[in-house]
Amino acid sequence: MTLTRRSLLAGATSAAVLGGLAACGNDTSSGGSGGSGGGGSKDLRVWFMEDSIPEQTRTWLKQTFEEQNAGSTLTIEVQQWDGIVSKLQTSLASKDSSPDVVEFGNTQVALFSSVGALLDISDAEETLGGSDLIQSFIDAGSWEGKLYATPLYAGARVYYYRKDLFAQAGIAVPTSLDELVAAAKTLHAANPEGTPEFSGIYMPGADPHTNEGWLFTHGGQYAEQDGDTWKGTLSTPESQAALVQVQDLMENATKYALDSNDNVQAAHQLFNAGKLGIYSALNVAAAKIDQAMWDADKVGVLALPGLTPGSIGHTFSGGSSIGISANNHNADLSRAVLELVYSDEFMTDMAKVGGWIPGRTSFASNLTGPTGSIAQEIIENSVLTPNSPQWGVLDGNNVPRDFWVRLARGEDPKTVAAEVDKTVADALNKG
Amino acid sequence: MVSDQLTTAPAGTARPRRGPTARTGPRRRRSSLAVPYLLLVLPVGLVCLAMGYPLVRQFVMSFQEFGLAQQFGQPPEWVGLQNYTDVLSDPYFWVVTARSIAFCAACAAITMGIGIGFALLLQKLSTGPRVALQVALVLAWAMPPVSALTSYIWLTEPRYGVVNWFLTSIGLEGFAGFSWLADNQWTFFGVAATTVIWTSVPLVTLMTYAALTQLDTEVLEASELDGAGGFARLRHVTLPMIRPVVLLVAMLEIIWDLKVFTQINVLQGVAGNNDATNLLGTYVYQTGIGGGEYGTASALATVMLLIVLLMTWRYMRTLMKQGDI
Repeated sequence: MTLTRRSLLAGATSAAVLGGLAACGNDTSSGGSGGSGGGGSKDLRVWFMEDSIPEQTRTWLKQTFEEQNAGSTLTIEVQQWDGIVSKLQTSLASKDSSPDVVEFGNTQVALFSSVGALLDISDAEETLGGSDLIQSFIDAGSWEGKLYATPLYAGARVYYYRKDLFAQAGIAVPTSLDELVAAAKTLHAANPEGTPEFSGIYMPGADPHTNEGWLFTHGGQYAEQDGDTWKGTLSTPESQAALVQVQDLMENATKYALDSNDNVQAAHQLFNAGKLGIYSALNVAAAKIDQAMWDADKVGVLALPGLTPGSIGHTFSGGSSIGISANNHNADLSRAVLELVYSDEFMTDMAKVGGWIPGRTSFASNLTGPTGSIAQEIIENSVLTPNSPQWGVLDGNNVPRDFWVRLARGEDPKTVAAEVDKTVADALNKG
Repeated sequence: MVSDQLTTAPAGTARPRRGPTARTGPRRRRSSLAVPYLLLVLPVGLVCLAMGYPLVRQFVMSFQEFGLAQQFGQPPEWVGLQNYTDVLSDPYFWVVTARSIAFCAACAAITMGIGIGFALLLQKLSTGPRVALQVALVLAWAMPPVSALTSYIWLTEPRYGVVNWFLTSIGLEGFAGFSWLADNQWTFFGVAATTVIWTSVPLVTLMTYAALTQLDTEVLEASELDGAGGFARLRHVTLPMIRPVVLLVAMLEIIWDLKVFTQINVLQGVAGNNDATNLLGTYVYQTGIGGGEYGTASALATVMLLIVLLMTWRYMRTLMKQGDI
């Protein structure tokens, strides 16, 4: 009796151990064999990112495509930004499950164009817009002289501020970066309306692109290329000046320095609740701010100021590019989708409905609303993170975000910068 | 494999009906020896298919330079032991390994303690409360990890979380807006350990309780008559009798906690400090899927497999001995 139970137990043990150990196996999908795609399927799949293409524009694209290409279907799937690089790494490599046309973050696209994940569309550049296309995005979408992805849209990073609170605290609208820092700190201490949990400025570590405005405006960068090698540049005096200023704001002008990713996405709610004096977000976020606040003339918009009074600063140029997967299922139809994306109708919509600077910049004149007048100028002064395939990897692994979070936790800027410089250089020089 | 089984099984059951003759005697013995092995073919085959392929592939890739370019079709290059020397000479790898082992030891020990405690409690409870506790445990166990994690993230949310609300309302003002996940790695691992322990206590409890219900009550009564107190009975009679089950569960815990991934990965998404919070599981993922260095990640995963084997080897031997194998 006992013997049977014991041997049963032993059996169960070995089974459990086998299961437990084997589950450690790292199941990366096997590599696809690349190739140019171009099979015969007439059912196309397009991946757009969340909050990028307005819904009515997506519907228009689907309908128009299916009308123009009888017998074909177009499925549009909306993807989450979070974890998209890893998802693209596996899906684009698979012949069966790869989408045909894909939107990429403009800092991520080099990673995919350099490894052969995308179709060479150099010959289509003129058809899609030529010199009208945002040049820095064309650079990001090119690899060794060939074009793999074209600019879909760019967003301008603007600063929304509470005019009424500024007036109550007796603060003038800042014209330089130093004045902005001083204004945020003064407002934070004053809290004119006595709102609980009030912050002068919203400055979380988990929002790298806001903080990069300071880095770039001071003349800093994450890394620079010298010949063939990359060098981390967060330890340079320019970058350090920016980091010290950012940390000063995180410690003395905000209660939200350690906000999570999700909180960053929902930060307009804090602004609407009157808990923020200054709030940095994309120009399209204007729609998320309470209409009542706009109507009461409580909200002002400004571009990040530069170092000298009256100048304009350099913010991160956020945006997306679009390309065709090398593993697409029908190259001709995929190109047809791309042509529709660059049609006048689509590009007008991107500005008018979406509020973006469209990939064909001449359509930016359709921008309306409170940020319309400054958006174009902000984009022209914007700066990109290092343009290297490996930057996509670093970004995917959240290296920039984690760097700013460490500053938000109060770690020494010099120490953190030295460590991250090494991480960044190691990664970029692998490419 | 399936057809093998279908054809053998009826034959095996049909034979005894023929009745005992001089000829069928030895043949019967032979076939009854073969049947268990044939029955094993299906499960072993399935395990080989599902687990074997990735394992072999991982082993092969660990000797190759396999990056994103290879993922998209370029032929991989053989690099011998390069990936292994890269992994083992990286001081960060050792930091992560030490951290993983410490995390695993703490989680497994606490889980076992609480689990066995609950099992003993179940034994003492009357039917109503016992069923209530069992249902609660099964629910905790059945909840998908990602949903459970979402609840934990909400509980510890700096601004609206109930944990900070409770702590500040009992006078600990310092916890107003305190970020459990982002502030430092100790509170991060505190939350992570809680989620890991929370999901694994039910299994330990239910398995230990099942073993306790199988105990021979006569032995316990005899020891009671001999004058053994409650604690002495527990230590000298009950625990030794359920030792095989406890050891088995403990070993499973060690394996699970050493390769914990989901909990850490999801919490890292909120926290924003991957370097200070990586364990082996997330480090392999970050190197492979995140970093596109599949070769290095494979070497890392193989080393991790060896660590798990090393850590559980002693337990397995003990168990095998007890199972008379």
